[in-house]
Parts: sequence; C-alpha cells; structure tokens
Amino acid sequence: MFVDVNPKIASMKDGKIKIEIIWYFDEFTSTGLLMDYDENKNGKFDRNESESIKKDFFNNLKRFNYFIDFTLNNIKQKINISETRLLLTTTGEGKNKRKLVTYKFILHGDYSKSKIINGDLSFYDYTIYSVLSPGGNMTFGEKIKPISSKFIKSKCQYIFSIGVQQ
Amino acid sequence: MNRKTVLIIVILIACLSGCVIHYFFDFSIWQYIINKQREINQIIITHVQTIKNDGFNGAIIFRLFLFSILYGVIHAIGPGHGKTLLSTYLLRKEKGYLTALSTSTIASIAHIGSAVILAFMIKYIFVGIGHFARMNMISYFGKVNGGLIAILGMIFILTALSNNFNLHSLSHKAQNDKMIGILAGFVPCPASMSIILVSIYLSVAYVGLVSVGGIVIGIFFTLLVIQLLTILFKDQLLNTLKKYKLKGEKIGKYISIFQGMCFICLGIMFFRY
Repeated sequence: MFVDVNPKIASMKDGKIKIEIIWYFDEFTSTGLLMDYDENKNGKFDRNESESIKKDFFNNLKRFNYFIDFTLNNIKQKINISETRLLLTTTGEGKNKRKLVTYKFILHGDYSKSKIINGDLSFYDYTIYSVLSPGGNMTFGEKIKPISSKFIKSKCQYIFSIGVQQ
Repeated sequence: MNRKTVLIIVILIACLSGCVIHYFFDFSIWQYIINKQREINQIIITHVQTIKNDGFNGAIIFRLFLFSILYGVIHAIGPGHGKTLLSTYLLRKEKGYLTALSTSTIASIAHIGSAVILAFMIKYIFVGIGHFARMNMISYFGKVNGGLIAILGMIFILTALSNNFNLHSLSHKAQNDKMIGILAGFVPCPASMSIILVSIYLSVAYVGLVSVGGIVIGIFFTLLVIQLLTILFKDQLLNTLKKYKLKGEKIGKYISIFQGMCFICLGIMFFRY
C-alpha cells in the first residue's frame, strides 16, 4: 500500500496547533477499498459506507498511532486526531478515468505558549505493509509565517520552525 | 593484495559511499527501490484496467507478465522474503547450489501461492472480511512463522551445545530444504493478494494470475542470486576459518550457533510484525 502524505499547519492558537493531513492512496489500494466498501456498487462511498471504512480501517490505525511520530519543542506529542473525512477523487477522462481514495484529518499538538515552535512530524509504518512518502512541501495557513521548513524525502519527515505572535 | 582484502575494501567503500549519499543528498537506495516498486505497481494496475476495458489482448498480457517479473525481482529485495533465513541455512558445509535452487523455488512459490489461496478464500469463503482484518490475517501468519523459525533456531543452538542424540536427530530432520523453503515463504505476499483480489473484482481473475505468475519468477530470481552470492562468501569464510586451525567439527558447531542466533532474531522480528 502506497500513501502520499500532505501536511498543512492549519492554525495555532493559545498553545494549541492544528495540522491538516491528507493521505492520498495509490490506485491499487483505492480500487481495493472500493471493492470492499462500496456495497451498493454505485462507484462512490455513501455515508454509511464511509462510516464502515472509518470504523474498520482507519480507527484500527489508532493502535499504530496512525503511523505518525510528532514532536513539538522536543516534547513527544500524544497522537490525537479529529475531523476525519474520506473522499473519493476522480482523475482522467473516459477509459483513463481513475478513482483515488483520500483521507483527511486534523492532528492536534500542544506547544504550551512557546515563542518559537520547533516541530518534527514523521510518518512511518513499522509493520512495513504500507509505505508513506511525502507528497510535497509542508504548507501553512494564511496567518502562519514559518521561519523554516524542510522535508526529508527518504524518511517522510517534516521539520519546521514557526515564530509565535504574542 | 589478495582477493579477500580487495573484496572487504570494496564493500567498505560501497557502505561509506551509501552513507555519504544518504546523508548529504537525501537519497536512500531503499527509497529508490520503493519508488520503483510503486511505479511498476501502477503499471500493473493500468494493464489490468486496460484488459478489463478493452478485453483480451495477448501483447498487453505479455507486457504485464514481463513487468510482473521485474516487480517480483525488486519486491523480493525488500524485507520479509526469506533472504536472511535461506542464506543462513546455506552456511552449512554440505549445502550448495542444489539447495539454493530448491529452497528459492519452494520459498517463492510458497510466498505467492499462499497469497493466491488466501485471496480466493477471502473472496469466496470469508466473504465480507474487511481490509484491516485481511492485513491482520497476514500478520498472524507472520507471528506463527516467527515462532516456528525461533524454535528452529533454539534447536540448532541446543544441538550445537549438547551431545543429546534425540536433539541431534531432531536437528538433522530440521535441516530440510523443503521445510526451510516453506518457512521462508510462509507469509502470504500482501501485494499479490491485492492483485488477485482487484483482478477478481474487475472480472479479469486470469490477468491477476498471469501477473502473480510473473512475480513468482521475479522473486525466485532475486532469492537465487542472493543465495549464489552466499555460497561464494561461504567458501571464502570456511577457508579463512581453516587458516585459524579450527577443526571441521568446531567450525560446524560455530556455524550452528550462528545459524540458531540468526533464526531466533528473525523469528522475533517476524513476531513483531
């Protein structure tokens, strides 16, 4: 299973940070998920189908910490996610039409009112059944001005630094 | 400079260059292999989809078969394909080219065959089993496999350390190509299972079978090459040990202990997955 990861620092307020993460699944996995969960075979995930995919698949990832390792100012963060959304995107046209599954969620962190946040976010599945790779640079919400940001492709690791407006 | 020294220097330079490239250029050979696997994985699904949309096409099926062989070659370089297990097994003096050939064949067929059987069982017997439950099933296979390998490792070590006849007889039975081959490929290949399930879903099951047939050949090739390299290194190692005036019996004992320790470590690793 191959997954492209795209993180975005969505907001920072009162010592709390929200990171929006999108996982883009490869075509094989997406087809497999459709095969398993699109019960009425209408080519999309209805509400109850989305719920069962979340319950059976994503909720079970909790015991693997969603393959996330997250540190803020050298403090390891407890992996706490919310606002999960399952989407089915279509690419290409005609015979080349492909359906890809994406999963969107918010990761929460606590930086306890520091003036500078040094963050380290990495994705790794130690069970080796899935491979998570960076889908691109980390992005930032409008009001957030990063001091520095980089990612290490070979480790699917994002290292960032943000100044906090007091 | 003799052959052994040159070989060691070449290996050291290769390792050092790998570290430098990894550190300064954010490039890992591992990542490269994964990316290649991903690219071929995409090619395979595209071919399966094309056959589903356009119907049978011999040329496309043949291309799919070739890509699947390539996928198998690259896929087997990754963890969990019995390379260490088979290579360690080969370290015994009496094991040679025939052992390499038979264990590679059995391991690759077992790895893919178990995936194909499991995929058909999931489709027609365990109907409605979810994606995560499937992954869990593979993980249970890994745990059983890990346990068996670790037990085998313990038998090897105990045999090397004792003179118990029953233990020696048990160890002799365990040094069996078929059993080691099956243990090496016991865990079903998740990628092949996905290929079969998706091709059944798209009503082109035969295309999936052609693809996994190619993957078997690819995995066999990689396992065989690694084992042939092991035989070359083994000869070198045995010659070196003889130089230290170690008797054949003692060498066998040390190799048994080393083999046992490797098997136990591998077992623990498998158990973790």
